[in-house]
Amino acid sequence: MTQDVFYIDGIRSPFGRAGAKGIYRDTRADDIATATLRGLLSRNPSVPPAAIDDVAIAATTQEGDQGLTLGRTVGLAAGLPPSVPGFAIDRMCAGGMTSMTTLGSGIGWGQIDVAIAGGVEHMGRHPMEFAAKANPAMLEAGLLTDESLAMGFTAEILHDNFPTITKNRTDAYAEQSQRRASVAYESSFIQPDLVTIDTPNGVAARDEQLRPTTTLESLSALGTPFRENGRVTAGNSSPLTDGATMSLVAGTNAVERFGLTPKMRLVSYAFAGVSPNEMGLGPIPATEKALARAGLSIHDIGAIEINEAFAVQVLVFADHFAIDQTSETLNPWGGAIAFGHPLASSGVRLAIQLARQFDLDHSIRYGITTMCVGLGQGGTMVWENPNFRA
Amino acid sequence: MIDYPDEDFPAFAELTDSLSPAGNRVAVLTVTNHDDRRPTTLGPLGLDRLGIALDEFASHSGEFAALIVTGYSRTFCAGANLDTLANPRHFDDALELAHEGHRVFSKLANLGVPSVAAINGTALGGGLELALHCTHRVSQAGPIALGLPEVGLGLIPGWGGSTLLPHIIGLESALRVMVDNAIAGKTLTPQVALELGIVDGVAADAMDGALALVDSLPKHAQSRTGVTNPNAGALIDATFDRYIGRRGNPIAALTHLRRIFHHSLVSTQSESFEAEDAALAELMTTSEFRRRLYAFRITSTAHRSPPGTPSLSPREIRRVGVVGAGLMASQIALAFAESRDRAVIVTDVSQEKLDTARDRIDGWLGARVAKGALTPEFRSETLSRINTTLTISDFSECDLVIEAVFEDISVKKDVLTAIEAVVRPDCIVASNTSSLSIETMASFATHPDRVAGIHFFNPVASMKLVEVVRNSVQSDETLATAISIAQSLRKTPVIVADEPGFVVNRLLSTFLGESLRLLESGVSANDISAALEPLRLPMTPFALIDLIGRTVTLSMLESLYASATKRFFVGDALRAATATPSSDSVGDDLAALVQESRTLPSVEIHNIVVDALAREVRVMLDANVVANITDIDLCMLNGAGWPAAIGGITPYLDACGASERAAGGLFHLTLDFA
Repeated sequence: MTQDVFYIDGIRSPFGRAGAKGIYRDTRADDIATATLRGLLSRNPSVPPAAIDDVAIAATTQEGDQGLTLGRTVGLAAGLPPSVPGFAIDRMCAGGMTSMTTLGSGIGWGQIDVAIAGGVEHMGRHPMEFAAKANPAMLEAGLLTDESLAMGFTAEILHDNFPTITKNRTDAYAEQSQRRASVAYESSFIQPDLVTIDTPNGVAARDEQLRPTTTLESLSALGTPFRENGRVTAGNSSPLTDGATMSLVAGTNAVERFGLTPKMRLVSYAFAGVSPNEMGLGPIPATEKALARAGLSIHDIGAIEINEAFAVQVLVFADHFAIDQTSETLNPWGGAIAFGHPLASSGVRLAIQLARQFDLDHSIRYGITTMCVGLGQGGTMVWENPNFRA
Repeated sequence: MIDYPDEDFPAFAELTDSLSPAGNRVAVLTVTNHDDRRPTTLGPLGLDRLGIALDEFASHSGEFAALIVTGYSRTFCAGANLDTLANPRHFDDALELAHEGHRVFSKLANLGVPSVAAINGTALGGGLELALHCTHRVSQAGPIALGLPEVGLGLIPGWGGSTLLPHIIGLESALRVMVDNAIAGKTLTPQVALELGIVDGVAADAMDGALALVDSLPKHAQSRTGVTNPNAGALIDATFDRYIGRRGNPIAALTHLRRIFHHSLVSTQSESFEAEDAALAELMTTSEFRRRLYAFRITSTAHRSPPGTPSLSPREIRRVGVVGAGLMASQIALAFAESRDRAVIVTDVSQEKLDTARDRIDGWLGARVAKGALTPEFRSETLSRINTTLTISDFSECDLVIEAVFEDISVKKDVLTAIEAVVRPDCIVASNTSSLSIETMASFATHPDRVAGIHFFNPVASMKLVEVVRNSVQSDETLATAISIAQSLRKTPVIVADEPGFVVNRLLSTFLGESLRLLESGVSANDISAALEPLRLPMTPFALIDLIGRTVTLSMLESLYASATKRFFVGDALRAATATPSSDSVGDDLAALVQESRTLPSVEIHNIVVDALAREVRVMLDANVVANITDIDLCMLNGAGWPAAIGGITPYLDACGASERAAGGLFHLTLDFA
């Protein structure tokens, strides 16, 4: 009954600036998600919509226009037949990633053959201030702290706890991310996986928050909003972002039945917890766990797509695995610092970029997508390149 | 190494490699307890590990341009581990611990390459001394505390600070840091440390700053400059004379420090370090140090929510109404108005009283501006957040109304009724009463569950205590909100039962009542005051009555007396001296009213008063007036200004035998205060 799990294709909306000046300011979250899903379906015509077994769409703040069981509502809105079910997922920033792992798990033991896994976050309409309130008993007991509930503070704590990761290093990393993203755009590595979305404020066709002119000097002049004299700035963090991502995942049965061409094979995945105060450490134990399950070591990994919520969290990861922060293995096309981080969407964006790297470089056999998650978690997926040629 | 069985969270010293911007190879030594919830401290085990790491580095220091020493989380190093400091009872053990600090820290001066302290966070006591032993220091900018607070604990900076700091920043500044600031409980900001010369630089990121400094260093470390001030001796004496005369101050520590300062003018560094060792060992084995340490511990954790705080979200308090415009009410209004996100409205019966209150508040703010403690903008902004009104209906939008009117139950009833008639049903209604029952007041209310007791102490600006009254009719949300209000004003809340006088006024009433009883029996005010000297209180009982005022004192004593006539005392003398005062001194007036005259041995007078205090503390504990005995000491330290030298009160009661004589046994069974 078991079968291999494949990433067939993925696509995303251009990522917009959250807030009153962003292109999606007058667009509903579920409309962004719907347009993205339509884009995915239209470029995968060999999969009959009625054959889709399930739709999982994640959002961190599930209220208002991203609150009504997104997998179901977006599926219907995108034109899937009513017979296709759907549900919503929340694991904060790893929501999209969890859509993929949850459906992938169903595929793995044959209960699902083909499915849609995605995420959306309209941070302009739903900022990450929890409409939900933390249980005061947990705060009192120290299980959660005010700092652990605000991600920027957890990034400052990482700086505190890893004194050799200095502000100069995080700024240098942020500059590199912007530079690499800019080169990736010039090389048209990013655009093929973007849908174009009509909005009341114009056509969204390109990520809105890229800053190719970023320099170390311009970064060093930025303020530190989370702490007076802190080290985390708007420049070395991902910006608040609106956007959606969708992926098509399938098992061997569906691949054979519909003649699909998988872009990646899922080898293993893992989620792991760390102290909520040190949220950004999450990718380290998650990666160790996922690699152990795959029987691989970090040296087997030829491409790492790590979500850049904050530069400091990427550098903690890099230092832990002794990866140079300028390594071409690590986010060669830049990351969320440049593209933006619409929370629950980002896990699928990582897969989209890794898949395209696999497509361009057949010498890479294994890659990982990994990210830190609010309240002290990390998630990692290990992928194999079907086109690998030694 | 000294063998201590139970050093909790000992520090590790970890060496890693790093590169400076110019490509110089640098070793980084991180002092860390791997627990970001508690600051790293150094005990014998941590010191030992630090010594091993320094030896390891020294064995191949030639490969490096410098050693950078840094800390973990928000701490560089918070000093010596207080548990291990409290441990030695014997001079020899204490001497070895003092000596061990010197032995390990001195390695930093003999590495063959420069050592740079990258002060990433709190650097206090032994932690700052660790940095002072480095050849250079860079601090991170921001809210970081640097200081040598040892004298405030009854110790001296004994791991090199007393000797090194005067050489690094000069005598005058060193005295300011080690004596003035330590006694006032103040620490330095990185910017002030830079101005004083304690650190060589301040950087947005301490490690970036230290790495950049390495690139600018000359190859060989410079020798330290000596103390050259020709008036050094006179300056030392003048500073110490200012402090040694005050009874609450740590006299023994000051005396030792003065001697070391004089000594260091004429001796070598190692001789001066030995003098530090001996002084530290002697001070560590005194009972005063153990009492001060106890006081330090209970006050330094007092910002946390007290035990018994209900686990639910407190209400947000933005608009605050204050009923009354007297001295206490004005101080309360000012305390709230200092929060930027709050608006305060004050009412009283006449415009004249309101104007007086406004002038008074502006006067206080003006005095702080004149001292440089406030900006003129803060003064005007704060004042602009205080409005006055003669119409209580203007309180309709308040989240909290607190009354500080005359202590008379019928007046309180009228005020409460007037408040409840205009405020929203969810507004917290609080009383600042010091002796009336909150439950009785609540019985007049339409919504008794929202009536809170929030008792501030005079002067509100400097007394950190707030007694928060709990009773059976108020809601958990009311209690939780009252506690969070105190915390939002940076006060330390203690939950107290709804009993007369709560904690502070109850024990003050015992203290004053027994003094008055002795006086009426014919013992002179001078004899009483002299006999109570060992308590090292800020003032004599009679000076305290003069400070509080006779009317207020009498009202307090009468209300406690009414609650338990056997345990409390008022006496006709005070009643008469209050009704018809004939001088400014209550002591003189009382003396003139008392016919008898007798003398008692000092120790007998002393024991009558402390035994009564011990008895009363036991009654309070048995009646669950507070959750823990430490709450009683916290109240006396933060609300009555009783000194750390006696640990608040109960450590002293144990030490002088009062607990065993009068209260059925020691209050602290596991702590030795004698």
